[in-house]
Amino acid sequence: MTTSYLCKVIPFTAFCLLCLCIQTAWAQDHPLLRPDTVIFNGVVKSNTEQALAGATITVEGTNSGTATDANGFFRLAVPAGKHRIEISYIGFETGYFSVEIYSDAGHVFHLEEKANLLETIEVSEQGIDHNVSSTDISVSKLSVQSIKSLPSLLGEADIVRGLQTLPGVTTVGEGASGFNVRGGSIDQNWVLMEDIPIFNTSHLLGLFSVFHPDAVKDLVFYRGGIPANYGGRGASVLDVRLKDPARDRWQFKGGIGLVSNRFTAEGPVAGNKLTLMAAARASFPDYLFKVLSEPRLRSTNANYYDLTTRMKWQASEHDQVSLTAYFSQDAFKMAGDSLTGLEVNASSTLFQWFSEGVSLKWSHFFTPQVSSSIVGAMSRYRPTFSIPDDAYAATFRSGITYKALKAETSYYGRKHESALGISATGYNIRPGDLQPDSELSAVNPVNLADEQSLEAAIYANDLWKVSERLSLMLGLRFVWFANLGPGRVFSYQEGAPRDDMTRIDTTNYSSGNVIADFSGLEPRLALRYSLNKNNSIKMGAQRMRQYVQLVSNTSAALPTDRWKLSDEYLLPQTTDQVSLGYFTNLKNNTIEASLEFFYKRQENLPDYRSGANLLLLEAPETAILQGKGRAYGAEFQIRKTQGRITGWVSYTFSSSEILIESPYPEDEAFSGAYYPTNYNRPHVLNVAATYKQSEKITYSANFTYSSGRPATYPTDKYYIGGVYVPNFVDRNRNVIPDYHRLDLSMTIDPNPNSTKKVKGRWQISIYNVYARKNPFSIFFKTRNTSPIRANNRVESYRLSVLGTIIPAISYEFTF
Amino acid sequence: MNSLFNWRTSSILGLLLLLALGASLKSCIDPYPAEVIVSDTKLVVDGLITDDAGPYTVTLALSEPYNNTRGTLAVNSAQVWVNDDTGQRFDFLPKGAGNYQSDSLAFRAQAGRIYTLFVRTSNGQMYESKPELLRAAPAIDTVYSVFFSTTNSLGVEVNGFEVYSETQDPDTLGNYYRWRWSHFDTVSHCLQRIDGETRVLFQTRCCGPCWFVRRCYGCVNILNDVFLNGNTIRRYLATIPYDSKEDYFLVVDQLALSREAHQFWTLVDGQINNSGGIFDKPPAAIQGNLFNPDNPEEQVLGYFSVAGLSRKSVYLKRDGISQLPNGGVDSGIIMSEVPGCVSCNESLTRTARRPPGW
Repeated sequence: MTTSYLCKVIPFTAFCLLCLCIQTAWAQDHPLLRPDTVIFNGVVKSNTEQALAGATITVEGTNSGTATDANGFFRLAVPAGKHRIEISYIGFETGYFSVEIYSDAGHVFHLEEKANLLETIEVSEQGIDHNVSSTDISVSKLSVQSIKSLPSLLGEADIVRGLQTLPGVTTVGEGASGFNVRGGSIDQNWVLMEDIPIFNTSHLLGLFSVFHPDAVKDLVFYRGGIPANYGGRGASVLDVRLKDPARDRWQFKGGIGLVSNRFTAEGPVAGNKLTLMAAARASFPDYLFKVLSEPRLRSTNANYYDLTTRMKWQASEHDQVSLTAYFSQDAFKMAGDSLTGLEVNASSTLFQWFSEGVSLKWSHFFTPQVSSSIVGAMSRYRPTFSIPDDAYAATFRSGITYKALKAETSYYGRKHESALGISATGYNIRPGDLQPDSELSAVNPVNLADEQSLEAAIYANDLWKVSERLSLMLGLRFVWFANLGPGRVFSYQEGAPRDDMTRIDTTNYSSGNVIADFSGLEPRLALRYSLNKNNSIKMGAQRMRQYVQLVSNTSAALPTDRWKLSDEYLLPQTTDQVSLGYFTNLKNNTIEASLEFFYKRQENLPDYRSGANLLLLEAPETAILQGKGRAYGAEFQIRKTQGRITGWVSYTFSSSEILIESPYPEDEAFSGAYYPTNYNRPHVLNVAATYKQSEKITYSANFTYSSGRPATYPTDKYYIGGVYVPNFVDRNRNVIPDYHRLDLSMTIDPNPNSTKKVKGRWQISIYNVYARKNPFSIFFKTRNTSPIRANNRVESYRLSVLGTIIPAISYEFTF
Repeated sequence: MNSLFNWRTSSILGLLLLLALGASLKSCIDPYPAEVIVSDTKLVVDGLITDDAGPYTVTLALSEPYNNTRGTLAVNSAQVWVNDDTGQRFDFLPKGAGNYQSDSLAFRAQAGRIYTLFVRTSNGQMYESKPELLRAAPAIDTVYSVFFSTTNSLGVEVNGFEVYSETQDPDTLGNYYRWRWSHFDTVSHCLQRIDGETRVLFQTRCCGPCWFVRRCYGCVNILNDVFLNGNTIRRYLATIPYDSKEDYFLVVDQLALSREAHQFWTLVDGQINNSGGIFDKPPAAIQGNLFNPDNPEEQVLGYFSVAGLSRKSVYLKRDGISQLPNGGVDSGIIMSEVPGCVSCNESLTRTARRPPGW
């Protein structure tokens, strides 16, 4: 056995051997190896040969049951003999199978997808008692169907919007890119799509997200209990998993909406060994900006497209290769140059941002329990802006490139689910490059030196089912990070704030030399203790380290904001979190409820010197201050997963604050005391409900309430040089008014039981039904137009981005 | 698909259209009464000295509640003086309303010198500025105007002249500019009173020469040369009306600020023109260059600026445009001359001092 193993594991090098040792050690006293017990293992697939992750397998007449892993595999110890098996999976007909199990030979089970598109409105695709029985704490899994069933903005089913209905997730406001998790900033979310990190999750600034809804299978969202497999960001992991292409025949799916049109094709290329999916989207929303409130946005042109492709090759019975590629482009043109900070009089500015990513994954299954995979991934994000006017014609370019190689071995047993892996990651950041575009341009070229880094990580994670009642996830990750040359580091006078004036020396580093390096352990822990079949208590603790951050001091991040690697001055962020939760299922697992508490402590959180201009700033350390963060909260959620009415109610109370301690008077306005972060919203309530009136018609509603985010109001004003200036003193001490909104939608499936190939459905949605002018901000503006001073008032205004009712209609079809 | 919308289709679509129409009519920026926070008043210092002939003025006042409309509280009976780096002291004398003025014969600031402002209030509290270096301003090469005529969103033709200046930026990096302008025109009548019923305008002549002054209120026109170093800087200054074919007299000041003063005005500009949007930086306190040496924690507002000044006075041509100037609508007002004369009182909109270059 060992020899054959070794032959197979040669490509996986030494760490696989390590794993083997672990497996052998388990094997020796494995209770499953008693003669009357056999290992029943297999794979659950859809009728289109898609592996179904999280399908529930129960063996009738025994207490045995399990769920399939990410690749659809399961493994269960059963008494040898004939058994009747029940397999259920959300959106699929429950399958009943009779099997004779006398050996550990693998079985393949196929489930039939439910007949029409609308059936799949349940919110979870896990096993029915998953809420209570899994070790997952602070983890949400959403199927794309559950997101699609929510009322949409302008008819665009959107994954990040769906995410925002979950407890612990907030946003700065409508139109702001990204999302905030448990008091974390948007760059603390590690967003992955099939191992490709996504650096900007937004289209159209922040109105929509970049994920093609028809290409996505599901998403796993960790805001706590993060396994050691993941690392690099402080607050959360969003793992967006794409569908496996259909294997039996070519299928086509599309949608027509007010903002974008989308189309997906998937099917076998050569036999059913090689399958392919391509999903494309293109927008035409220029007209849309005419209804937006911000005048600067009204004269805007904007467009985007994206293309998501996935290829899967079943190379052999034991080998699977998948290739995922992703491209997206956004263009956004607006009047003026006020965003660029260049201070030139431009008539307009064209912003563009491009994301490209590719990942190649080879998985090899030694046995149904032991598999290894190697993943190579590359992702690049490139924002640009350009000014067309001859006198100042110029283009700014920046970008971040990620390259990673990962190898992992996993073991999937009855008592243990383990993973052991290593990874090497390289970043290359182009902080900014400004080049004149014409001979006449007065703009001088500025090119900031690239930054590069290397990160090596090794991790081990084990989910140990100690007993029926107790399971434990133990994980440990060790990361070494080095900021590498070529580069230069400035040094500054002691006892003075870092700026150009106090710069005293420059150290140059040549290519490959270590400028600064950091390393540390990141322990991860999750524990589940079942009080009985329907109630459990869970606990989680984790440390996360973050070595790359987004540098942004505007209310919401701009697409052109710069990424920055940790260095001598900007130390890596560390986030420690503990969480505790009580989980219960009621009424035969049809109602799930949970209550979770979390506490978080953060080191080296950034904030910015007042008014710092970060664009093309050679030394960001002169503008960034680092401090401590603390966040805590309670999250309550109750879901109804079955019946005519399904949905959930979630309520979160939280607080998120930051402390900057700077000895210099210029920073005194915000240093020395904790103040709330920009995205601190203490109370958040979400209600999402779907009512299925008939096979043809489904209604859904979404209500969201959140208390206002912090803002700084002026305390007084003063007159200088002909203008009144409001004086803002205590950072984020005020609160803007509450946000609440109701959305409704109706989905019509005209022929739910049609046997025709072509099926379609309509969705009519109304966003912000009662047209509340939800404030994005309260701002203060001085009227300085009169020579008579008293006429020049400081006035306060409310800005609402989508402060009106927005109806939409969309059509979705498959054939 | 034709079976799809056979029920109440038209009424739903109609409703949606109505809603969409209603939506587009609503504005989404509206006045909102934010709560007022009362804070202690703080000293405000507004001072500028240049290498132009004085007198220079330093104004002292107290900050006001942000929604105050009743005028500013001046700080009088303080002692104000400026020291230069050779140890010379120049006193500023109180002129009322919180204004303190230097003696133009005794004090003319020079490029290359470093100046520091000192203030001692009547209760003996001392304040001082950080030392500020006076840098000479590069000369303004040219000031010119470009005629434009467009149709605005209401379909009304809008025309006028956009005024630009051009300056050769020095080769050394680190030039910080601020521009300001004043328009002067002679005023013949220093007192005018209109009778609303009879529409008779009673006018009294000025006793001496008098000029009407127009400035750009609330304009903060600044630039740093970090991206433009050593090149010709073309800057938009003002838009002037096309209401006559006569020349338009404009005095343009180009100030060479310090880096810190530029930073101060950048923050002021950002805050007074804040639109609360996604792209705006959240407002924060603006650090000036004044402090209380006995209590560095005390917030002293304002800025003591020391700047080189170059000035250009121009008569901008407004003839040569084929279309006729705007205005000239007969308002039906009857002019009536009142005998006697009225003196030309100095104000923000009027001056009896001959404008530079007139």
